[in-house]
Amino acid sequence: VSEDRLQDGIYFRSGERPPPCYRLLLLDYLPHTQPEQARAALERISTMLTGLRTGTVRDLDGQGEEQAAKAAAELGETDSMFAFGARLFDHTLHEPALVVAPRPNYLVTLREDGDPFPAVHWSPERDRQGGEADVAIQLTGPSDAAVNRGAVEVWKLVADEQLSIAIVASFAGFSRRDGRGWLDFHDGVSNIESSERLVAIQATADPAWMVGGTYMAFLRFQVDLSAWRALTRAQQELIVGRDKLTGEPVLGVRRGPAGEIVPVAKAATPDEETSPAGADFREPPEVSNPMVKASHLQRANRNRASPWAPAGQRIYRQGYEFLENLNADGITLGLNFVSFQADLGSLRRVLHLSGWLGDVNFGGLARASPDNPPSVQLLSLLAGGLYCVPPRDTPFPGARLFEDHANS
Amino acid sequence: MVCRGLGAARASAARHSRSTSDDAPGDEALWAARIENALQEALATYGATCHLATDHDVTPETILTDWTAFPARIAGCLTREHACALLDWRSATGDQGRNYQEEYAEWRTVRSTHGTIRRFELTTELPDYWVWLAGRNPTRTLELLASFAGEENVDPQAVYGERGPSRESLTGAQRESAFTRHMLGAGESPYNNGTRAICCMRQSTNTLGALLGLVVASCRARLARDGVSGFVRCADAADVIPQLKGAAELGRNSDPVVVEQLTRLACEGRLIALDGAPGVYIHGIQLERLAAPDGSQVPEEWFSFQRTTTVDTKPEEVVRAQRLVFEVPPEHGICIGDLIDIATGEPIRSGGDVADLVQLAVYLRTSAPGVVEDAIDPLPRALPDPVAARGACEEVLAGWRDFERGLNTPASSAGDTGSL
Repeated sequence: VSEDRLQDGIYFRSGERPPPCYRLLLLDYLPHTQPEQARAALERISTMLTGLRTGTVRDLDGQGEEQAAKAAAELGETDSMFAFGARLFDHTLHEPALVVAPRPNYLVTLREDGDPFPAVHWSPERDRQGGEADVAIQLTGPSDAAVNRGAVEVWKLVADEQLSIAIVASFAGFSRRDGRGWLDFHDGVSNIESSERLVAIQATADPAWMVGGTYMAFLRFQVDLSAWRALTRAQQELIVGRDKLTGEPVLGVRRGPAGEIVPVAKAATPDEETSPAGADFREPPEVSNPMVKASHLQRANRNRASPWAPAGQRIYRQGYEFLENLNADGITLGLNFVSFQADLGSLRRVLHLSGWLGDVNFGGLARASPDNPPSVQLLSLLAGGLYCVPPRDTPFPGARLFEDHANS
Repeated sequence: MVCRGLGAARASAARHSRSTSDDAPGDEALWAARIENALQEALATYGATCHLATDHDVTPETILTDWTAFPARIAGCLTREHACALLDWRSATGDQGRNYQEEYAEWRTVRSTHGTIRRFELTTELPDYWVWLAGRNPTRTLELLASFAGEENVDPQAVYGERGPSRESLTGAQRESAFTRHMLGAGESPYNNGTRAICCMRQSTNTLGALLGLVVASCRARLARDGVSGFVRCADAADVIPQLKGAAELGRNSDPVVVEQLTRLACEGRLIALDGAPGVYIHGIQLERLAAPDGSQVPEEWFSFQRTTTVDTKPEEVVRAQRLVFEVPPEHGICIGDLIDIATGEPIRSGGDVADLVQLAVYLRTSAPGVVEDAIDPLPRALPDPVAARGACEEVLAGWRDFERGLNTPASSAGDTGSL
């Protein structure tokens, strides 16, 4: 297997686990920025962030070894990942053009004059900046202090050196150690087998400068927790497709004493006992009950295929929850859905195809029936953007994009 | 358990009927017999399997496997932009790009004098059925072709060659042979080479034999030990396809997902049958991806689903179509080429752009799990290189070179991307 060239910050290798804290910085170039200034700005930021990992803090130049070691201990495990949005490739927004490379397929800004996806609306509390930018820098690390210090050090550097770039938005998130999300259900259980993740993640040479890189989707979904909690546990389980406590997949339904629909989940027994020939089936078995087939679990991986099957539309998810507001006006929380995929077309198809997530907001049958769990508009989009994540390179990932401009 | 080798295709075929029948009374049984012959050939090639259901087995569960019609392997080899150009390649002898439309769906585009796409037609109809129909019912064959081409009549010689079908001395087999020669493969009839119409698939692997071979070869339990975790699990396309003697190809949208679905069902110990007459059906369109120049959504009515099949046992189910025609009604003053795919941010420039929106499906019926018990050993597994496993590219690259040569030869019409 070829050695991968993916940037740090994508935790797909066997035994790796994403660190618990997340900060996404979005930056736009200033008007009339020249290509060489654009390149220099990112080179400076990259160099500074690399220095942080070794405890080099610009404002504390000259601090003692012991203090530097403490800084390195806090910041040393913070990964930074550089990504570029469709905006960078839009020559109407940059005079002069900053890059001449073609915009990769499916790298587009999300629709603003309509719903971003067929079954997902923009939230009324939609973020002013919308999640699109020329450049995104993902910071992931072991503590809020680590990722937030990284973000603020970028802000200081931009200001101090009057770089031709400005931070336009920033989003934070965290992950839970119990493997569950705000819905209280297990999340990420059927994520891809570690040996197969690279196939799902790694981009091909279309365009050539992206070979060995990947594509990132950042979708900051607001979750309507009140609507969710108004559902019964059975209704929730049917919509998610898992038992709430055990995380086992729902395989069918039966009628309860009052004629109500009761989901029937796979028994929680060790894999060795449930699988023929000792096989370990990580994916749920095939189901045919339309109500179960319509659950989120089944829809998100409808063909239950591996990344070796392009029509499996497999994407590698690395999401982070967030809590934005909690006050007298109510609560705003949700999921920073972050996914990495070889091709943004896969994500599009998951979110557009009928029977996948193109015809329901989260899960459940698209057409109402008396037995259906009530249709719930669980997710709406607060902010979002699609980004290309070039492979590792020096002096920073994607530097070649700007060099091509200089050579053209 | 005794391994059985007969699928339920024959019985299933009889339970399905076209909304507008092509057949005279009794013809359905004859077509079913032909399916059975193809099935027997597949079984002879790939071996019997315990997981194929017979007519007597109980297979109450219906499931489908879906993929999009855009040929993923071709784009993986060439880039999407070049693949789109190659897939619409039209030469003086017709649509050469059809040779690369390998997802059990083929299309043609009709363009304006400026090269903008006005009309898109896609078919998943098997050539085997059309050959049979052409031999059995030439009148119906010509009627259909006339309707596809928007013509009042079709000259039989354009379909059957000089040995027109009306000569009473001609046998059905001779008519089949004449149709095959003129309409399939490199046949130059304008009624299936894309210049006037497209009636059925002609790419060499879009056939009944290939489809049944794919099913028969895949329909068996195969396990693999994961190279990293060490878990034994159901084998995936990268494990299985190299074992299938050419019945499937990595990198495609269709083959790997069908292989994995059938392998997984077999791993669950199920009996499996195709639901309905063997074929690939048009399951839907990603309609919301299209926007008119004013930003408005494209209505479903602009897509016409034709050659539909109803399932007698499932009257509530949406009809299954094998032909799709997409055209903007003239009163709107725009054409397909003016529409934007919001997922790519680009206008529709090629048939491949539309094919990417078309959702295809194969329908299966299965028994409950655990009906078949296999004793199987995990396949040895070496992790394939992710790039190599995206599919073989030699013949695609050669095709691109031929196409490019045509583009660079001003006097030749080769390399034209399909304008009329």
